[in-house]
Amino acid sequence: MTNNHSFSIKVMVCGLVLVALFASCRKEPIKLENPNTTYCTSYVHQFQTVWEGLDHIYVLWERDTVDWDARYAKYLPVFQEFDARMKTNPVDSAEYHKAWKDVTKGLLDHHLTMFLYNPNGKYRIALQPGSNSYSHARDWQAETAALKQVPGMTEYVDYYDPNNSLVNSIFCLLPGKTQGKYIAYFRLSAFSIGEMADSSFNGKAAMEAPLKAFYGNEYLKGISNGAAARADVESIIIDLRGNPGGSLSDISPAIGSLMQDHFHWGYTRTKMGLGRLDYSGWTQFDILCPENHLKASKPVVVLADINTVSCGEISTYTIKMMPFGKVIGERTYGGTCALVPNTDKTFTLFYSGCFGDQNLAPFLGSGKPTHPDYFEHYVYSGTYDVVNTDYKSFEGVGVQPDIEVLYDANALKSGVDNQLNRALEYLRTGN
Amino acid sequence: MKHRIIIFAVLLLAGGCLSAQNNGTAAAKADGDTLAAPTFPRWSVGAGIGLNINVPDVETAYMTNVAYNPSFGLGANLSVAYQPYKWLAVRSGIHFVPKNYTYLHSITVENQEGSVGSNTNCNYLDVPVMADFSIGGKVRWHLFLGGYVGYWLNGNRNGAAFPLGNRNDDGSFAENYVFNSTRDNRFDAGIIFGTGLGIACSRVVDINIDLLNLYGLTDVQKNYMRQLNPHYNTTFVLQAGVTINLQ
Repeated sequence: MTNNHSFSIKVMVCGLVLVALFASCRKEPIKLENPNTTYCTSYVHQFQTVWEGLDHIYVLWERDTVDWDARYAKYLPVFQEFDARMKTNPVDSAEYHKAWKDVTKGLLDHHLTMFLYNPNGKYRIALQPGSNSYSHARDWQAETAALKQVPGMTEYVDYYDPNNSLVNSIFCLLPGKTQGKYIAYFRLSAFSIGEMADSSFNGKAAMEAPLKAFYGNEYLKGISNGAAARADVESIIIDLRGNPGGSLSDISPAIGSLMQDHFHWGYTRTKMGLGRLDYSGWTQFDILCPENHLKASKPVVVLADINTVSCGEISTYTIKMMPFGKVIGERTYGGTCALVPNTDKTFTLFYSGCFGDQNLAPFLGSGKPTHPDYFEHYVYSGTYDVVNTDYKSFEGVGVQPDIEVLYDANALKSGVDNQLNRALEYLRTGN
Repeated sequence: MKHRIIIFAVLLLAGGCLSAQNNGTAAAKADGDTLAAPTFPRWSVGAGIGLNINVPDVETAYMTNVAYNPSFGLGANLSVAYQPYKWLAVRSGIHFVPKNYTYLHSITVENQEGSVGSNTNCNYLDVPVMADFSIGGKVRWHLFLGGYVGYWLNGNRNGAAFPLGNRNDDGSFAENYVFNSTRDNRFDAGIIFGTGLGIACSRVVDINIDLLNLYGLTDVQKNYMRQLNPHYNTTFVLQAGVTINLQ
């Protein structure tokens, strides 16, 4: 019995030692720097910080085909070489730009815009990996001139934005299918309606005039006493060509007001965790129909093109899915992620999308670094991954038109807007 | 530090059992074997249910307002044991073990405090192989030491994220866990140790109450990215069951 006891104790002790040894087999966590607030002191430090930031915060890794680890292995030596010759042969902006362009080449997020600052040369570079070579410049003046030449055009109201030198929004009536009836045409150059309403700009009345003409005086609440609700307006053209997007809250009054009911657009998700593939669940994304909306269906055509981006694309798809909706023109840009750019307030809310010194981005700050002695960065990228009800993403592919009419610069120069004409033909003939 | 605590806990557990062994032996003698003495070797089978708490071990780094928190679950087990000696058995079986956790992201928006996050329920089927050291008479103390392998069967999660747009809801979601073959490591393995109390109701039937610690040694994620912080599970199981001695 004593021998048995002694043996059993030895066996137990051996077992305990084994268990204790195995317990130390877990991997240790990696120390990670906060990509939103790290002040980088070298090319390599900046590269590692931005690379790691995108590694954790970028929202499209599940769909992206770029081998991000391979990019690290390939380009770390490039930045090490930059550091090595920091004093003897400083890196110029072209080299710096090329290195970063190569690092980020092919990333899917079409909102992704990066601003990187080099304190040695005191220059800032900007790059947009998703920008496509097939986009084309718009000729606003020619389009506006062509619109004015449509026979029977009436009640024309526009707002010319002197800051951007473009016709910001236009309303007019064009002859419809039925004698005495009209097609209401409305061009929305950006989703900044809410900003307009809140603006204290002294030219606000002029700025609001096309909106009021189309939607009515209470345009933030949808369609009230504007032309869209008139009985003699039988159909509508919403021109979103060149619309770069803007505030998502504008979609309900601007587009939702054309619908009969709320539209279940799809689903969204954000990052939820530091792993590349750590996401929240899919949450429902709806376009709400405001209280003031069209009570009877009217055919609606949206004119879209390759320069229709973000909210412009969300709106284009919304109209495409309406029972009497049609998309005419070109495929849209393919930047449908939604984003929240203000990293000083929102980084810790999301840990998804944008990070770095937002001051570097000219559209959010001065365009200059807050800490000019450091290698600063600002990464502007999607906070939300957005898919439709079939979980299909439009990122990088855009929304396809129902009737494709490609941009024809030569026709436009001669006063013919072929895309607008096709929309008029469709609404007047049904084909 | 964590490892030292574990080693200390294991030794403490063993110390408790060795102490119990002395008391138990004395108690058994005093009891005078009111039940007929069992014969060895023998086989036994058992079944039980358990309350689990899973403690996720994930480093959140700079996400200082994020925490992976423990979560409870209900499990069950079927076991089989071969007992060559009175003091030693080799125990195995199938354990259904939920290894749940909560991702809590605390936020403050316009002075309003709230949170987003998710409750993730992960169901595992684990097969432990344990040495079961025991001492005592009618009431026996057990010390379990061994390892387990398992498979992540399925799961689901619910929670809330920031909703997009002007929908007046809370961004809630509830969905089955969709496995990602790039990320999710469905193979599970680790060490298991614990203690328990067995009460012999008759020569054939024992009632058991066990406290087990399943200490995961496999990351629940595959090594799919260069800068990956591991995610380990440590699951405590308090289970009660019945054992039928076959001989």
